[in-house]
Amino acid sequence: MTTPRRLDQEFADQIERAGSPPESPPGTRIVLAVIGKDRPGIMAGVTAILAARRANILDVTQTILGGLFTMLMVVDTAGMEGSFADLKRELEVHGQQQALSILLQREEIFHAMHRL
Amino acid sequence: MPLDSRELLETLSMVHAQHLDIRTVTLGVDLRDCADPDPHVCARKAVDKVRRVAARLVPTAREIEAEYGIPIVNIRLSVTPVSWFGAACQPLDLLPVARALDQVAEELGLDFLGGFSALVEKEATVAARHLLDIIPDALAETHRLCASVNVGSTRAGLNMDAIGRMGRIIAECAARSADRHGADCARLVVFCNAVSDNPFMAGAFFGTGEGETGLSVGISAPGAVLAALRHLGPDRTLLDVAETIKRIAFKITRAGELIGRRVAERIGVPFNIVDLSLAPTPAPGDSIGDILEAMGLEKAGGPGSTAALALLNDAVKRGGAMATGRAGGLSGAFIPVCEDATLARRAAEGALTLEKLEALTAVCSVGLDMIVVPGDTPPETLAAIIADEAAIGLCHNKTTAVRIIPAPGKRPGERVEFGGLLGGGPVMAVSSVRADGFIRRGGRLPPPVGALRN
Repeated sequence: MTTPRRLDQEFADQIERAGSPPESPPGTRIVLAVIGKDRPGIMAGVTAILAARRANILDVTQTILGGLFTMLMVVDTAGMEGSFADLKRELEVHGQQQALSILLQREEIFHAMHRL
Repeated sequence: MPLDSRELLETLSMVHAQHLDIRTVTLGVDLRDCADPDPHVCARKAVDKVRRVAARLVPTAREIEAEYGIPIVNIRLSVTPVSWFGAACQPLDLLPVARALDQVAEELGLDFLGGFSALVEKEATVAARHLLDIIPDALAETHRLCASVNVGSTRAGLNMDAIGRMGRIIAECAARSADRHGADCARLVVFCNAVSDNPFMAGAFFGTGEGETGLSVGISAPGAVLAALRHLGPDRTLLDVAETIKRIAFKITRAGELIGRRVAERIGVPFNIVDLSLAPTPAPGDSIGDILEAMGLEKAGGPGSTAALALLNDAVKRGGAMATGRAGGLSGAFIPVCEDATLARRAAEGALTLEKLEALTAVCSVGLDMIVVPGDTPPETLAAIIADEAAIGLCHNKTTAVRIIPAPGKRPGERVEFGGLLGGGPVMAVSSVRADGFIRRGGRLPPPVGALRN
């Protein structure tokens, strides 16, 4: 009987890293949800605001659910210019102007609820 | 493991569609070091300490609410029972303390302040007797102050003299606030087996052994449980129902603990407990009654309700206890009739009666809560209702409470509105069979023999 072949060490290390928590401190990551009637430029508008403040996008999922543009983003705010409240205000104003629902919350709350 | 979009959307819909919120963030403050022979100095010391500890509570809680996106419905303070730290006052006059605490609560933007309390389960001290005497005045002169009296415990039995008095005190509080349908009674709770870390009003106080300060949270998520049960569908067994509730309870407890810990950190106080509660609000869909009906009952209050509530209550505790090592307070499902739109409707229809509510309280948290009865209910009958409810707590080694409002001039079937979180509801019928002779005996109802556990 043959023993299973060990994974290549570099690949094994990569898997281990992928399974460990992200490197930015947990308090600095936020989840951003953008929901609204689909049209071109929604993502560009939101990401421009993030880029201007030097907030770093870590993960993004975007889809159309029943004609509704739905985007979820994980953003690292560690090097961001301005406070959480500033960003929230700016995005909310943008959301009102563009008829989008923009919600942002610290990512910690999602981890608390969905991870042991 | 990174979060997937299904998990992100689940949390977002729990908050934005299903009313997941933190029902209360309650900061406990010990005031025993504020004792002073001069009632006005005692009041000033208490106010100074509350200001020192709680100055940043409301702005900080609002900050955390914005950052984490979970609404915090009420921000409250609980203090050492006033009958303890006020006992040194000469002359014994605790009204200045009551007024001062109410004023500082308003100044700091707090919704309620609990602790105008006395624990008299065996006997009352001089200060406790005085506090009971002035409860109607204290509530009439304040807006945010909450009063509670512990009249029994599994160890001590029931203090039937105190229970008889509470019947008269409740009647007087109702009469003093007749223009608001007896609303002062909504800030007065009578307990058996009161707990010292309860974050919920009107019964919160900060007891001995709790330390200098401590911040607790109570969660409210009947809407999230309801949505999960509706999604589960009618054909799954009750074990699946219990499992579903457990999972939701885990998530909401974790959310509650995180919010509580962050608020506590930022204002620099220790985190105390999460109350594994399922507190309804008058908002549509945020109802314990709806959950019972989603389990398959035609109407909450009908046959099967006690069993369904027992399942719900246990599943909430199982999920919650897995989620946090800091479970405390009252921990269980609440059934405040006026604060739960479906329970109020079923009571109006006659499907939910006072007697059934009493049975329900044997298997859930607390007791006869926010119940409106006719204004002419005799004080002895109010006392007998309290005694019945306290006896359930006494024999089951659990907390039970009565918050009952005899609405002046109102008859069964009429509806009264208190507004805000207190909601509104129907005036419920009370049996006309009298218990005056039983209440008049007074004395002590002995503890069950099972209380001798050592």
